[in-house]
Amino acid sequence: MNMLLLPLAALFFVMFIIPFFYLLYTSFLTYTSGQVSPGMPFTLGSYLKFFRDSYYAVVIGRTLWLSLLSAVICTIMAYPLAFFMARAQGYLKTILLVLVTLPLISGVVVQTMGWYGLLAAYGTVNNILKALHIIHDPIQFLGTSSAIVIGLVQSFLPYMVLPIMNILQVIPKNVLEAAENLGANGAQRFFRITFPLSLGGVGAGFVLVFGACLSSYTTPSILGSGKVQVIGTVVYQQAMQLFNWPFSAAISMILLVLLLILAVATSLKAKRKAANAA
Amino acid sequence: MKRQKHLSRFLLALAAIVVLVFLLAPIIAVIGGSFNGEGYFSFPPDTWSVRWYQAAASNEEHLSSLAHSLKVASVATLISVVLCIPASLALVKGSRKLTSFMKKIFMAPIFLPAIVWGVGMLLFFGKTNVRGSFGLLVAAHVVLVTPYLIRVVGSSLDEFNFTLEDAAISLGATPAQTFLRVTLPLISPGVVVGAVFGFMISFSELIITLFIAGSNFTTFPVRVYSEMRTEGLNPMVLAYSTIIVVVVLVISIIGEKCARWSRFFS
Repeated sequence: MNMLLLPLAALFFVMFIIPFFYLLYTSFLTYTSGQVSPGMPFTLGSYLKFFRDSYYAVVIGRTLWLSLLSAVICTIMAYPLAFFMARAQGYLKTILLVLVTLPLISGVVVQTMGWYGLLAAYGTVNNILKALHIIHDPIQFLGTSSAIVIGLVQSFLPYMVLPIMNILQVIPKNVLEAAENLGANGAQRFFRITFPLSLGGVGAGFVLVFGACLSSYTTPSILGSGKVQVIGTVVYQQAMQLFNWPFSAAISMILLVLLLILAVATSLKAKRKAANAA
Repeated sequence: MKRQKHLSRFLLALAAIVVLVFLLAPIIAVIGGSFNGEGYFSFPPDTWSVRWYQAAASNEEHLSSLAHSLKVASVATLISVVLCIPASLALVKGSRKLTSFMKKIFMAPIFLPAIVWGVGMLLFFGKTNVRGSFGLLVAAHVVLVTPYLIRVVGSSLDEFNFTLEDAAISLGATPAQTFLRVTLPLISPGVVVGAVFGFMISFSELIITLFIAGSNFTTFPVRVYSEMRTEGLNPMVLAYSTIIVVVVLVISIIGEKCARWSRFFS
């Protein structure tokens, strides 16, 4: 039986597991005068550099803040759409599901391209604002954090809509009917039954979107125009433009630690919830 | 009371539509902008024309990058299918301990940030002449699409009735015959859905390709990305993207209608 698994496992070993451990190994290598110095003892130099230089503290703080902001906005925007979709049926539902997953399947490059045009100085958003006499001179969206947040919220919105929709669909109808019979009005039914029961889906979506934003590269790279650096763009810059491989490896590891903390916190919370329920 | 109910339904529908428009705004802008007759981005178009489609039809550089993307995606998907069918069978039948561990490994490319994996491959293969080769790019894309195939094929194997295999064997079929004439036909819808899904993931992948592809083998997302960073938005690229979006849309409608495939996202 293991023979059937072997080819795929071997491929993952070479392409996935070894590169990962090699990355970990590289993060402890010495980097001097523009190159990796082999034969030197392992060092924490790259990690220390990251934590000593306030520039990187700002980058990490910015990444966390933009990701949190994006995830919060995503939640607020996703909820009504998810609620609407949970109730939709037949063709309408199929169409909505296709449209919601379309940005995911057509890829983040196409989404970023669209925002690049919409948010440009002479782009659609500025034209609309000018036509409405809200602004005189175009707003420079590109190259700002707001452009990145807009792009991230839109690209990862489906990851929030789908889990919330899924959980709303499994809320038993008779619970709501019981509440109605006992005299609860629409708002009471929503805030005291539907919303609390849907929090599991909101949590799942939140973690997914927050993690995806922390790891994002394409959106901040294009919509930030190189002026707003986040963890992903710094990793790329260090690896591909400055060739400081130990440093890019160390930043990658720090990103992974952040994601790990997020994952552990989530699973601890889920466990505590399960323990409370039991 | 009834009025209130109607009002809240109306507000809900309105909010849902606003969010949906926001979600689709970039795609609408890409499609609309591709019909602009001028040499810059404008949505709604200043003048309507199909000149960028005509230009797109004969642009060697972009067409070859599209061909590269199609080639990588199809070869990688094909290899992934061939590797994932036996692996999925093993995962269903194997001991619980091993399979749950291997499943986690096979799903990992979804959870490990592409940027981290990309740097890892760059560092590991960087000094060898493997980096930049077609083989390496395909191997990476096989790993990239495998989680989707494992998930989809796995879920169709979960529904598979394995007593059918026992029946075939007790009637004298060899294991190979059983696999080819009983198991494979019954799981093939799942395989097709997984393959189409994986193909589209691979086709639109940017980050790992950016790290390990050779400069003489530019895929479409990489070319578009590099152009956007250096020259801004090229209207011709909108024409290609529109065609891609329309193809994806058609496939999605079929996929959603026949296999309800949005469930594989969450």
